[in-house]
Amino acid sequence: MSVKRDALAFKVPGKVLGTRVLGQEVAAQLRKRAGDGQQDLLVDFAGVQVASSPFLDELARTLRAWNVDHPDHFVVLMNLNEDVQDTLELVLERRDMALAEMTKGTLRLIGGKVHLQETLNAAQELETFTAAELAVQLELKLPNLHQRLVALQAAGAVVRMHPPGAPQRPVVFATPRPAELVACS
Amino acid sequence: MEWLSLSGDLTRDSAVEQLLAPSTSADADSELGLHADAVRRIDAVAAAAVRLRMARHHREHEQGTVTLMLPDESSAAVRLAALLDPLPERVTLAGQVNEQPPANYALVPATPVEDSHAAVALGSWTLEACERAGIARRRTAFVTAATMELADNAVVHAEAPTDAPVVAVTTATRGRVVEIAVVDTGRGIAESSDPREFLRTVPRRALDGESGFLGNILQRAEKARVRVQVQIFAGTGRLLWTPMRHRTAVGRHLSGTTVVVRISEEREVSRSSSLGRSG
Repeated sequence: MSVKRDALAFKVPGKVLGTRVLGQEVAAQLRKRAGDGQQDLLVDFAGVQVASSPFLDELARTLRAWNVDHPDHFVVLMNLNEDVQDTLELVLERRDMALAEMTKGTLRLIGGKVHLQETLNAAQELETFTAAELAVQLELKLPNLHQRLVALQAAGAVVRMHPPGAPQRPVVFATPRPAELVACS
Repeated sequence: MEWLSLSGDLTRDSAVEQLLAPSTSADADSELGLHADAVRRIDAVAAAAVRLRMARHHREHEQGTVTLMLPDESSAAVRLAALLDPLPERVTLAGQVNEQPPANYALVPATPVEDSHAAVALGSWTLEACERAGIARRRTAFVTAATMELADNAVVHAEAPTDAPVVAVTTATRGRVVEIAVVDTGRGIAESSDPREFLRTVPRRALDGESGFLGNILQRAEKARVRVQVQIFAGTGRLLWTPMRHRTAVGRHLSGTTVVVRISEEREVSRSSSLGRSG
């Protein structure tokens, strides 16, 4: 099953980004652009050479809150250079968080534990799936898989979909398709 | 007229102690004569403290002027002049500068940072300076982020400061060693009942996972493949902090808080500065 999705690309402004104050300002711009959250969110770091930990901490906290409020939409970071990735990883580890990032056409988690990345890889192969299908793929028991799915939803890397039909149909999950993200950005 | 003669061996302690000592003149048009002629060595801390004293003099004396007598020793004179370029208004240099400073020595001249936005602007400036100096990309990013956040740290956390913090960045050995100095007039640590004890808790809080940029930069250092050493002087407290260990000491009372971050290539063996009585 494939569903056409809308995405909003938010370009993080500037080349050198630092301080908590600027992080709060950019986070406010992001919230304003994203409006009522009816689209997936692509946060584009193209052109950003340096981003400090307080700046990224503010942005990460905003994205976490966004994921909680909009569980039906993906949030994916794009075009982070190596330094920004490293800094963000430390920030997310400190907050016990993970976020989804796309590099060279591959979706990966920053800040997440290894088993979450494995789960995301398996989900990517299926694209859309039920929890039972993914559990079979990973040879996991359902309760364990549900914990991972909750973590991946909090990271913005997996969403619940609402397929048409009777409410008793099993819940379907999806992960973003990198090719579509590139087209949206 | 107010005269301030700086001692020849201008260590970090003595630079801050002498330059941030209270003014002795109350006249609106007071002239400050800063005699640095005997000074034999200059570093980022000394330059930042000189710049802070100039700013303070102008704040305290509306029409006040400053005359700075450059060191007689040419290498110290050229370094100090480079770290104060461009000179603020109503400041005159006296003395000879007969040579060029070492290439890229004054990576970022002593700069007052008024607010967080000025700290970000300072970051952009630092990035460009590092790129001009040919500093490796990873260290450039690290130095830029550290300069910006140290400046902002002083802006945000200095308690009841009288003047904006001043930041200066120097390089040595062809960019392989970078020193960032931030001097502020905040009283929180310096005037606390036990500055040394206060500083002793800083690394502990960072290890406990509390947010704080000083802890973050030590963590980031490993990934950026640099060695970092943080030195803090506040009141009678001194802290020397590396990723592997920290130690505190007691020294003469200094106004405000001075933070020095030394960043070097991984292979350079870091040398601990003398901290006086350690504990």
